[in-house]
Amino acid sequence: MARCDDIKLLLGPFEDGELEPHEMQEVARHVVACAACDGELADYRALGLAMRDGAELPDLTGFAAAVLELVDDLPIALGTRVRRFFNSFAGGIGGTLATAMATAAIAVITAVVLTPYARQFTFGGGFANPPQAATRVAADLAPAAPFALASVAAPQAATVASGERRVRLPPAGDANALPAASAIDLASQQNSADDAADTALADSTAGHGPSTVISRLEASSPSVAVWSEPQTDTTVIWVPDQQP
Amino acid sequence: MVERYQRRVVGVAQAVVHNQDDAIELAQETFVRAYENLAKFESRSSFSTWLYRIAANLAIDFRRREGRHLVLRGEDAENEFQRLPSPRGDSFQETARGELNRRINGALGELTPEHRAVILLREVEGLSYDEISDVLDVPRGTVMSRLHYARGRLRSILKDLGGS
Repeated sequence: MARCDDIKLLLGPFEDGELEPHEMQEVARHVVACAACDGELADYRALGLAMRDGAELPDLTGFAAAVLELVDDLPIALGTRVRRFFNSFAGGIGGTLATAMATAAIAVITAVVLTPYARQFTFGGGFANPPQAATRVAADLAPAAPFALASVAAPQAATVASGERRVRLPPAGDANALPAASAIDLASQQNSADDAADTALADSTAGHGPSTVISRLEASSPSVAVWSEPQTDTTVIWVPDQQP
Repeated sequence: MVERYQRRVVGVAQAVVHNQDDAIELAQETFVRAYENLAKFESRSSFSTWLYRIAANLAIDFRRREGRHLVLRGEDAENEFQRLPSPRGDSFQETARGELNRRINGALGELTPEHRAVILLREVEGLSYDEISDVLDVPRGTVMSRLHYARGRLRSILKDLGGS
């Protein structure tokens, strides 16, 4: 049997139910057999009951109202006031703002996606002019890889004309240094906007000597271009280097 | 929320300051503080424990500031409790409730504020050892030792003054 001195330390927690199960069993077994510890445990129990019975319940009438009054009197921090102000509009302005932003985003995306098609329809006669588009792609690809410039004499009939086109290139000495995409401006003659750009390009290249005027340009694939140069009576076939 | 916790909060404050009027004022201050710091509440403990801890801290600060806690020593204590009966037996049962309450309160006044707070939180407010540990910010072992001492001391005082 456990010693009384050890058990006395556990009597309070035993009364409170705060012991581990095996300790509860140990104390219970001891108390049954030990009158002194049983008496002390009874004292603790009586003391607790007396304290609970004797506890005066405070009169809390109006307590909650007094607390709310104190809360109402609290100074409100500036940040809190600003937050409350915006929160009060959260339902109206927030929803409107979100709708407006979504609408604007859709409009921008639509414009970005449709602009090339709109320009093509407006200035290029729609999708029924695929060679122009192909030629533009070829010109755009030009700076991406070195091209071999093959110049062959050929009859004008060798050039295929699907439309009157004009390309202005730097002087012949710079031919291998292919022009940047912006330097090759392919345009139909009906395109007044591109004509203006051509003029600007001609002006910008004037310092390098006379420009080569190409009256016809044909491309059946984005990587090959064929054009005729009436000044030299030459047909130029422009193909990229073949990678081994 | 106030009505739900007000009685317990007053009880916690009263366990520390041992004065009902002061406890009610401190309890009101407790709810105001809780309202102001609600955003800081973390769910590491229950809301009620958090609230009781605020009350206990306010009460401890109040006690330190005001120095109002009652500690009867020597002859004062003997005069106060000279007719206190034993907590067991017929005489204890026959004592009028009001008189009993007065004597128990007097015996509690004999304890240090720390021991009194612990035994009141346990016996009157019914807080568990872990809750008392959280509220008073002391280890659970300290709660157990303080309770053991407080119970033994109260039992001894009541028996001695009972003359049995």
